[in-house]
Amino acid sequence: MSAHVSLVVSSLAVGSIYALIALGFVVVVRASGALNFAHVGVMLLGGYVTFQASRLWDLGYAAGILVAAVVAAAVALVIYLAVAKPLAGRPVMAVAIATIGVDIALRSAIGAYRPWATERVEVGSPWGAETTPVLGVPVFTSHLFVIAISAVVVVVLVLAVERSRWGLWFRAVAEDEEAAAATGVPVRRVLLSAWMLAGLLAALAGALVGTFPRLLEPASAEFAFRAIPAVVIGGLNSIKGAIVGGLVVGLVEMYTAALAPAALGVNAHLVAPYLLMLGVLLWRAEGLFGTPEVRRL
Amino acid sequence: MSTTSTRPTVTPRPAPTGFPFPPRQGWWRPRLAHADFHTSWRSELRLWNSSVKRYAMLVATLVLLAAPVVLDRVWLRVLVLSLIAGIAAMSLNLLTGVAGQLSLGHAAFVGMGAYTAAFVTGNLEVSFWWSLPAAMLVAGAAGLALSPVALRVRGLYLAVVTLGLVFLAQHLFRNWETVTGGVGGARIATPTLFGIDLIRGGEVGPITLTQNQGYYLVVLVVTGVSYVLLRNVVRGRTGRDFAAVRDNDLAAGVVGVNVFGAKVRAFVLSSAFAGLSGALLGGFLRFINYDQWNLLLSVEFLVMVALGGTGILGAALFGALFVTAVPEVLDHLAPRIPWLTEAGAGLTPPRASAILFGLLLAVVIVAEPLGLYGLWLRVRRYLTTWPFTR
Repeated sequence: MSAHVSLVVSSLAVGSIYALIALGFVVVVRASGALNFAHVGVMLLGGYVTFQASRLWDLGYAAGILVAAVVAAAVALVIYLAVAKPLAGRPVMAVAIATIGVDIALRSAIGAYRPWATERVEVGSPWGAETTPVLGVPVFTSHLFVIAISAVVVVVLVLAVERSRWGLWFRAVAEDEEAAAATGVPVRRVLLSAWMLAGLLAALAGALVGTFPRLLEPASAEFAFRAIPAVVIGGLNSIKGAIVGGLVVGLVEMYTAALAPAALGVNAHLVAPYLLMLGVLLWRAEGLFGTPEVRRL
Repeated sequence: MSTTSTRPTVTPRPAPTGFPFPPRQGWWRPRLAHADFHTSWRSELRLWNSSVKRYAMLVATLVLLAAPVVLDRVWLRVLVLSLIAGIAAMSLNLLTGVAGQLSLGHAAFVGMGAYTAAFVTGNLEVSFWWSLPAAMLVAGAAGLALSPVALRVRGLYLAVVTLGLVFLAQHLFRNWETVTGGVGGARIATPTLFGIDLIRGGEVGPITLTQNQGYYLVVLVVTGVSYVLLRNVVRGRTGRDFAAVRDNDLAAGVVGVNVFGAKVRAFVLSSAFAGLSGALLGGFLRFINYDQWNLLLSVEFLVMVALGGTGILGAALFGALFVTAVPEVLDHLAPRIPWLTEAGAGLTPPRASAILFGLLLAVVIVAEPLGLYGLWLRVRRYLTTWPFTR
């Protein structure tokens, strides 16, 4: 029982980070139609900027995340203007491939920056190894805060998309860009803001990826790659799917880590999400909550 | 009344002056056939359908045959590696450029080929040469196993599945120790021919092969044969099926293309040649490790394809040469460039070239979707329309 409580809490913590990253992917898929692989690099950058601001400049954790959010949003904006915007109207695959290039360049640059990449770092969260009892089982306080922060962000995001005027515009652009433009939606501004929002989510996720008990290193980018199965399991264009997919991937990963027999090999939990993704795709090609593609000649 | 009706005399046409090209007056004055203008389908479908291509191929062959004599072993190594990478890049070009199935998992197939070579020479203890067909079979079978997924999911979903494939394959390479050697890596027996170590070199009758020369010639032949085979696939019916599936698979199905069959053939062919490339790479490196078959390698193959020219088979070879040569050049320049560190942390040549490749991939896709081939098309248009060039 007690093992399960701590497992579930840590799964939810990891899963909610996956959900945040997955949401960033989904927001861009809805806006531009393409999977933005540069999201991975932006997440890593967000984590390291948090580390820079919070530890090296001594601004504290919250201010660090704010700085990172601003920087990451700016970088995401640049990526949109430099890559996605000129490619509008070309096949979405072109955007995907171009952002893979941006991602590799960004991550290699981060890996080459000595003050960041020489050793594994913690981004400077205030909780340390502190524990809090949940149902009588001590769990890391940071896990609870990660879950709480993600929950708040997710609720705000969902409300913004479902209830606000911007959300209405956003959904209209996702549905049909030309029709939205014809009815007076400022498409350009919506696209800009969607990419910036994705950058913001990436920065927050990056900071949480570098929060104890996890440490940040260039290889932490794989965290964001494992969020891609979360996106796909939920459905590429579904916000609900990203949240559910993230939590499912977190649970699968943590339970595989705890329960998988040694025969499955070292780090079986890190590939379990991909196997799960393969299974879900063979069962439902559009993911759990994705829109089935309707095509005509 | 008899009139002698005089038929109009047929004056022979004057010999064409052939402006801007002089008429053929001997083998040294070739009639230039244009790649875009043909008088028969047969002529368009030829393997090298313009005389420029034919002469370029001749020159390229001569240059490549002369290379081992001219280059020292370091640059010969670069050339060997880029020819090997070129096979994999061509096969990815067949899958992604011609058949339109974006694959981020090519590194996995290349890795399978390399590990097959290790298994064949290490565990089965037979000659290295058996590993080439074996690698093609193993990697081709893996491609066959993946192809049903490719019919089920399309586009971005397929890209994501192949992304997962890289991580799954790396997991397999790391953990299936009896076959892959696990974390310790795997060794591949030295390729020998007629008792000569092809990599170290040796005496063949009157000729002395120095380091890498023997293996270079073998790789050159294999690459050349692969190019002709794949080129034949592309220009034939199968290639047209691939292109139809790429342009619109629904429409292709409607006009009678066997879409499933085309996708299966594309995956099997592509992964088989990726496996071949992997086996050759293994034979050259002779030691392989699980972490070298990573996503970055897959992206490098994508860069080779995009840089050369997506869908233009042979152009991938130029992309491969560039992608292989840049880290080597940076390695040589590292002592002279202050911001480049030679090894360890900081901006090492591999990191610097990864940054360059990433940016290049994005720039090529945005600015010149056909890559170097697109640039060449512009040059060709300028030259062939020369006095009237705008």
